[in-house]
Amino acid sequence: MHGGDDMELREISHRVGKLVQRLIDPGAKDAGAAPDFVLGEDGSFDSVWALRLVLEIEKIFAISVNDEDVVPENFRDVTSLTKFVARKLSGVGGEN
Amino acid sequence: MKLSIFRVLHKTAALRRVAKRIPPHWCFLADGLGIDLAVRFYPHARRNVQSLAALLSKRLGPIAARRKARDYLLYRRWQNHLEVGWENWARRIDDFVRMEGTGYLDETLARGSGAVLLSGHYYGLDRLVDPILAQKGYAISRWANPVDSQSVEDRWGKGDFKRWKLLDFHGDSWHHTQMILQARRQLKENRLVHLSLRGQRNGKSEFRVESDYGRFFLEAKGVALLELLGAPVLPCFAMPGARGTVVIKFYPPLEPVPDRILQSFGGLYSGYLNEHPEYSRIWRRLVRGDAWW
Repeated sequence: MHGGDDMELREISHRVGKLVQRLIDPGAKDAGAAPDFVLGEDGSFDSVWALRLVLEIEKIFAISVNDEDVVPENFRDVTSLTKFVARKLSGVGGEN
Repeated sequence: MKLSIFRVLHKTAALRRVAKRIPPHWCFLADGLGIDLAVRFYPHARRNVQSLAALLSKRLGPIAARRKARDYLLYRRWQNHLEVGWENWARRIDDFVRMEGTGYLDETLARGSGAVLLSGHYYGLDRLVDPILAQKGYAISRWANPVDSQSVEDRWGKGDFKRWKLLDFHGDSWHHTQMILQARRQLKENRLVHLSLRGQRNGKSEFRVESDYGRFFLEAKGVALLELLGAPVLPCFAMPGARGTVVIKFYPPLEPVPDRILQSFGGLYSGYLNEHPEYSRIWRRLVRGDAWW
């Protein structure tokens, strides 16, 4: 992973969707959560779940997520999370 | 906030010089006398002792149970007084604090990935761990849900607070996650993070702890977080010693694997509760059947 330019937004969205789906249902084999899937809509969102999500995002995209990044604007749904990852990869909004 | 002679002595500017000169163990002896008088003449204190003694006497017999019930009141008061008097006593902690197992702590910190100190929720003198370690020169953060919004300095007065932070867990899941990430960052900076593991009424059998107050289960979410944070975990208990001293005992570090934490910390906590049930400050919650304690 070398930056946002190297990765299409669609690819990020696909990988974020798959990650979210996997965290919701580890046995799931379908394509992943839809872009408009709201995190926590199924009642699963709590600090442990969010920390798992953050750790996975850091591992998959080789970015660093800070405490001030964890706000509803960045983690509301798959789309906002995708945009957040893209910003991080492109170096906008903090170091990656 | 209760007004007492002790508070007036320690918080009034004109009297602080006097407060600093009074050794903590004198105050502890005065507290013991005060508790004995209260149990004799104050119906509320007497009822407190009787209700706890009735619970403990099934296992310990009436005499030992009554002594422990009296000590429960004494050490609750003593912890409060240590907090109130902290700003005047912080510079002389070597007079009333003893630490055991600091080798485990120092060796773990030498590895450079921080350490989590794990205590029982509202057990022993756990609130003293953070100011004492900060005063001893350790960089430490307390993971807590404080009952008020006072800053560390406001609450504890003078002391080496540059090395102490409060991770305030009061808030929603977003805020919790932010605090957890702050804890992670501080562990990466090789700081200590101190947290108390709560008990809950329901849970898995491997999380079970038996006590005089009933059965409870260690908080599964807390153990899961320890695993995700990935730092070594040191069980740590702050217990009352002789003549009002505080004894902080550290145990060998555990890898952050739930089974190991449950076996080791769960066993230690059970042992402490068995030997010193009187140091649990919120035993009523368990007896009442509250969801958390």
